[in-house]
Amino acid sequence: MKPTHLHLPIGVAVAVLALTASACGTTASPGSSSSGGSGGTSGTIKVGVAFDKMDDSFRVGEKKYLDQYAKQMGIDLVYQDAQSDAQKQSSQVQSFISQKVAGIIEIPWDTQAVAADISAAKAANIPLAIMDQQPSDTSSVYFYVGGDPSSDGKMAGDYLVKSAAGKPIKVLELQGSLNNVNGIERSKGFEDAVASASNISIVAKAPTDWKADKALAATQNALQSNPDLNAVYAPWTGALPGIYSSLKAAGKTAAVADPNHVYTMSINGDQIGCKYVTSGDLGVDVATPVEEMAKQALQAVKDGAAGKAPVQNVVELPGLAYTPADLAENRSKVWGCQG
Amino acid sequence: MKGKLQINSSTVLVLFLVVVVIGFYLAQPTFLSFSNMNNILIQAAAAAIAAVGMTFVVLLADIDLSVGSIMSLSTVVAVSLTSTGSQFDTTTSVWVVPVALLVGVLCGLANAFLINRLKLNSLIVTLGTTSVFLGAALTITQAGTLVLSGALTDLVALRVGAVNLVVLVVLVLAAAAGLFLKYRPNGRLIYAVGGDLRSAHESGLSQAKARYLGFGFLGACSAIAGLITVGQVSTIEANLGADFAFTVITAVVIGGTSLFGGRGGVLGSVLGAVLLATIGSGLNAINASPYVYDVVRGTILILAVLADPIISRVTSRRALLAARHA
Repeated sequence: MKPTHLHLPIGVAVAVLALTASACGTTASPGSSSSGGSGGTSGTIKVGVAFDKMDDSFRVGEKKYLDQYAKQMGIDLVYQDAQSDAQKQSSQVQSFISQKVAGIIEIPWDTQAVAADISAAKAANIPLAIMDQQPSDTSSVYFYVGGDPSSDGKMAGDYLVKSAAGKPIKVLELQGSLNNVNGIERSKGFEDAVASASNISIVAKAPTDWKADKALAATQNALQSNPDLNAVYAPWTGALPGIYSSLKAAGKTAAVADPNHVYTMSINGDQIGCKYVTSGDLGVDVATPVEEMAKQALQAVKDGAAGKAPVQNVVELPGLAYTPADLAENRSKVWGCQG
Repeated sequence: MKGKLQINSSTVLVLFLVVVVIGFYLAQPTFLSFSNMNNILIQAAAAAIAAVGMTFVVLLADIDLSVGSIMSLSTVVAVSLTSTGSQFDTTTSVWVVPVALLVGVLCGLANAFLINRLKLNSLIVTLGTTSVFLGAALTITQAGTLVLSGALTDLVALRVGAVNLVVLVVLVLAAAAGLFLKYRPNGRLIYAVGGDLRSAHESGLSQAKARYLGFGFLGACSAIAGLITVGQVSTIEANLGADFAFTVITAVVIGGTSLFGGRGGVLGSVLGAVLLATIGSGLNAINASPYVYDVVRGTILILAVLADPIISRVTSRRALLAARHA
């Protein structure tokens, strides 16, 4: 006889466990406080931070600076992770609004759908600062601060044009994810910069969804189809270790000091980028000003909570392009080279 | 019937593979070179190894969605415990291999234990463990990226003559697993349990034991796949293994192993993984959008699943006829 009478309670128990686990999974990560009520600890204000995702080293950097400056500014942060789900993010922002937080900082997963969050926050009179991913419609945004992916891509392209100095270049253009404004603009910026140089041709282009293994496969395949490939553009630094090992396996080197090196360009300015610029492999890394972004976002919500409006609604911070040659003087300005 | 070339799913697959390779060669002549073929095998290696393990589980009429997460957890734990250096400069040692294998096997056994004990569908249980294993891995790394060098990256880049070590590992593992399934009693146990559970029970064969074997082996295979992947990309990123289960299950199904259990083998699964990697590489070579690859992969999977019950009927009818004529 089958013990079917046990199935139902066990099934229910598993379901409840799963629901609790997923609820726990979306709330604060270590290092943030989650005091009830809108006041937080005395003298501080409570700000909700809605991240689109947290499993990304760039987000790790953003969180680090948010925590650092929040402490200085007397702000208590509560984090939510939308795990790459626009619906989830919207409901998390709604929760912040109903908790009557003093302000919200959001990195939107969906730059169209964020319009709903912007209007909801406006209606509730809560300052909502959008960070890092520019909403498609910024006409009614309270505050947006982010990098300038188009100019970052352009800087990478300009570097290639300048250092190639007329030499024939076959470049592999890796792209981030094409449903994401950073991915699209970093790609476009690069392409626009190299379009005018007749010696540079983009022989292969591959979207990678910001995944290192896709970047690796694309590099390996490009080397097969184009054995004389001599430049690779990676719009994020996470792709670099795999790219360098593919080049090594193909008997090529990226080391800038070598006259026959493969030109590599990247963007982010994180620890990986700093590492490879320091070792002389990465030709140029464009450091996005994460520190400044976090600071401005926090300042905007703090001002908003006190009734002050920001001077400018939309702030695009240019990145800083640094190379092995100018590393010494630029080091202190690159967030990935700190500590 | 003996001696005649059997038209089974493996022969169809090989034919399909040849057609695909020729097709891409015509579009891009550099596609058909020794180094590119070697390249494809290296790219297929992780999925192929995991597909060998997944074959065992699918033969049992079970499924394991957590392979990507096991990949992540086993490599993260192994690298954290056995390496030196800092986050962006982690030097791995040879010990990463046995530790990863151990963690992989334990994850697999945990899956089997939960399925056996909770008496729930393996789909549901492994859906849950996917989250649990991945969450554990992310807790250890705090979602940071680890940059690797040292023994693991060297091993994965190692060539034995003209062929990569990784490719040899696939061949040896697949051969050993295939022989085990065919000739060892525990191998036949897996076919028996998956093929006809009731008569297996009546013969005193244990489904629980078969599951420990199958899921445990798959856990080990996932760990090896993880080591190969991180050894190649030289990083452990938070999104490691995110899409992996889909690729592996597709490889197994198009390789001819039935989702209903009891029919199939590892050769088909390896060929399935190679076919998927060939298509991926070919689409790259002709600069097609990678989203085309997703459409192709999904379509092939659906076609293979549709063909599954038809092939089942044909095979059993043939067996019946053979028995009648005997």
